[in-house]
Amino acid sequence: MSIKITVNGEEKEIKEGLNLAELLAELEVDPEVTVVKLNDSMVPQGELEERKVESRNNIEYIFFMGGGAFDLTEEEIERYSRHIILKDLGGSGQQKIKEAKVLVVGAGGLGSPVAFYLAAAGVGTLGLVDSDHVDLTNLQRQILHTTEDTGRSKVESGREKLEAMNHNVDVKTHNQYLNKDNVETIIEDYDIIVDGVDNFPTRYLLNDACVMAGKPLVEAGILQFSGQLTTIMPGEGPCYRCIFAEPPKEGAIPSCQEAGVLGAIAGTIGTLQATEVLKLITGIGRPLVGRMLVYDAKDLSFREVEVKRSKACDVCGDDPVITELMEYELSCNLHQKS
Amino acid sequence: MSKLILKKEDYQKILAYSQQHKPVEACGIIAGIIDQDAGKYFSTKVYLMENTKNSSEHYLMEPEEQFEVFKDMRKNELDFVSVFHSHPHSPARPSQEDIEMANYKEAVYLIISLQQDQEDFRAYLIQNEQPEEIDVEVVVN
Repeated sequence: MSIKITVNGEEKEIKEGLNLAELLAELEVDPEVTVVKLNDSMVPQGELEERKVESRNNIEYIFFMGGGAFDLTEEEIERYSRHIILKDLGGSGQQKIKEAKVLVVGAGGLGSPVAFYLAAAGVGTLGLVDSDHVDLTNLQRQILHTTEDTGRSKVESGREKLEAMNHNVDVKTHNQYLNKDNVETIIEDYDIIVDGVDNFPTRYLLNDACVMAGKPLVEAGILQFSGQLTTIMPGEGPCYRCIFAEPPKEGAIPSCQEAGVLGAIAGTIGTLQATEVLKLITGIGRPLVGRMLVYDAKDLSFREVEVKRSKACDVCGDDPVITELMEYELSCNLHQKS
Repeated sequence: MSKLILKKEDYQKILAYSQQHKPVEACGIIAGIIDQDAGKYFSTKVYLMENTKNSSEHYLMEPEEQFEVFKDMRKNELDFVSVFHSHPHSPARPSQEDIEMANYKEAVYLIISLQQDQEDFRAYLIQNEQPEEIDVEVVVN
């Protein structure tokens, strides 16, 4: 048997015995976004199933009409106005930046510009990992810290500068040396990880942990007059081990402490890392996945090298042998100092 | 390309209402005629609605007021053409919330940005959470 009803002013013939929830389903209307009137009376959403549709009923429904600009305060809208007017970024991109959680490992040479630019950009949660203290020899490149900070914890000194830069950012400090026992817990609360460490054991540990956790890692290193950068997107492109299967032999590559580094190179490469992070957050452009950017400051040139995923990679290959986190021995006492 | 064609007086009415409510978002409904084959959406009547959120960042129309508008459109045999709202401090692009709440797949979503001195009217068809910008033309009757 069928009955005749009116729906939004149109006569319809429907099966007898339906309730309003069933009628909406027949009409392919989502009850969650719908307000229904039965014979001029509003029907609460929770009562749709209880209300039987009867012959000659007059049913009207509307969908909610609403929306919003962004969940940004007036101050944030003004602060980020140069971002918001960018066609590709806009308010929704700025909203994504606000919602993002980024971990910067190493509050040193690379970590300084990365953290400064991400804080300035309005990244909502910014984590800093470093167990080191500010040393006078750091200040030629580690711009998060000042002469007065000498001897202070780097993460505390960093937090102070970042909060002064942008009070909207929640800076979380991890005054710890990253190791295989704490790395998973530290990275789990973040969406994107930035490598600003200066030693190979931590670089490999971070790579392995990010691959295992499926977290994007913006990887970089600097030495003397050069720098390099790549973005590791687990499952999509090569990881650090695909490119460099094993850490170099002890003494093969000197550290910054041994060989020096032109301070401004930390700024160049760290700023590129921050750019990559903002691209990943907003989905703008093409990330540096499967490519390594190599910077030669003496020649002021950039070179792009294609890097491929290795099927034989120990951690992300077809038959990985590293299934649990492991640490290489640190040959000198550098820890996460850049 | 589809096109929203606004009568000049409708354009001015929407603009004045949006400016009057700044910094709060203004909202409303445009009725008229839809030429589906030509992809043209003509305005003939503008309903100025209350923003129950009374916010500079959100809008939500009053359901009872919406029912009345739809009843009036049926009475006058007008098509439901568009939902409009203003962005007092941001560009005329749909936010994530605008996209998620674009429940009327057949309607044009018109956003009026008052961020700059010069107002910016932009219109979108939003289906499957994908906004597609369409042209806006203002015509003098």
